[in-house]
Amino acid sequence: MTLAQHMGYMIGYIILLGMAVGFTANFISLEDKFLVKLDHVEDSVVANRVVRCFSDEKEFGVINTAKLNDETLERCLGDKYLLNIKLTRTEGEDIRIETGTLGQARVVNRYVVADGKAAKLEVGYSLK
Amino acid sequence: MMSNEITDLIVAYALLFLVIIIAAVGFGPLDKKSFENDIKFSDDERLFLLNYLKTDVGDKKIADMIAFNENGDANSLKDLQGASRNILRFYGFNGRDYVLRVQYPNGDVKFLTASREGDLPSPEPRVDNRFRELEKYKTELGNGEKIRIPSMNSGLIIVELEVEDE
Repeated sequence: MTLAQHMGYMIGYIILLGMAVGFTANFISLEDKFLVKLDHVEDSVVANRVVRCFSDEKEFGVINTAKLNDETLERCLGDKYLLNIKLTRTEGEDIRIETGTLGQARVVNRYVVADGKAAKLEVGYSLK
Repeated sequence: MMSNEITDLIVAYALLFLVIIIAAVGFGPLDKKSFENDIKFSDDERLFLLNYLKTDVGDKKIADMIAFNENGDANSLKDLQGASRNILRFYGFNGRDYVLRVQYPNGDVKFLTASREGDLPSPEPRVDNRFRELEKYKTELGNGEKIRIPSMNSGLIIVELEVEDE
């Protein structure tokens, strides 16, 4: 019995082994990278905190216009940011709150409801 | 050396060569292939959907209009489409394209509004690929943000907002 007599089996075995190794190598070489942009996270956090701050109790996004003032804003967000908030309403006048002159400002919009009607909350902020 | 042994030696070298080739091909892709995915914060769209449903139009909320429209006529759908168009034009999504659709529990999809309604299919029959593509865009749900509200019959109504990436 010689090796040459089993040549066919050997080649078949090596090809199968090679395919298995190939699949494994291919599988472990794939990598998913998930990129989180910190600017986007900050936009999201600041905008959502402002919305939460002015919203009715347990009604996230339903703005209580009586809460729209500097004091409430400072209580909710502290003094880390300078903020420029504008509530644009489909009915009624716009409301603005400014806590200072913004430097390199980022502006984020959120759709909210004020007095039952469509409104847009524009949150401009920059670090103090 | 016997002739069998010489043949075996040649075969062994041939097999060794084959193993090296296959292993080289197998391990070739070991250079890391990485796929980069940006994590998207779609809380803007989620909050829009939540508050869109709570918005009053006349004496009704949008959520009620959507629910009543399940068994409604063409006029109730028109009112809903008009109200949705006004709300979305007001909000605007910073100039990004959008489409808003609703799917009822029976699978029926109603188009509510989009940023470029002029591009949507006209009632005249057209058979080009672009028309088919737009028809699909109008009558099938996509991969946008979804919110579910209870149906008046049974099951859930899905409201979907698809907004173009920034």
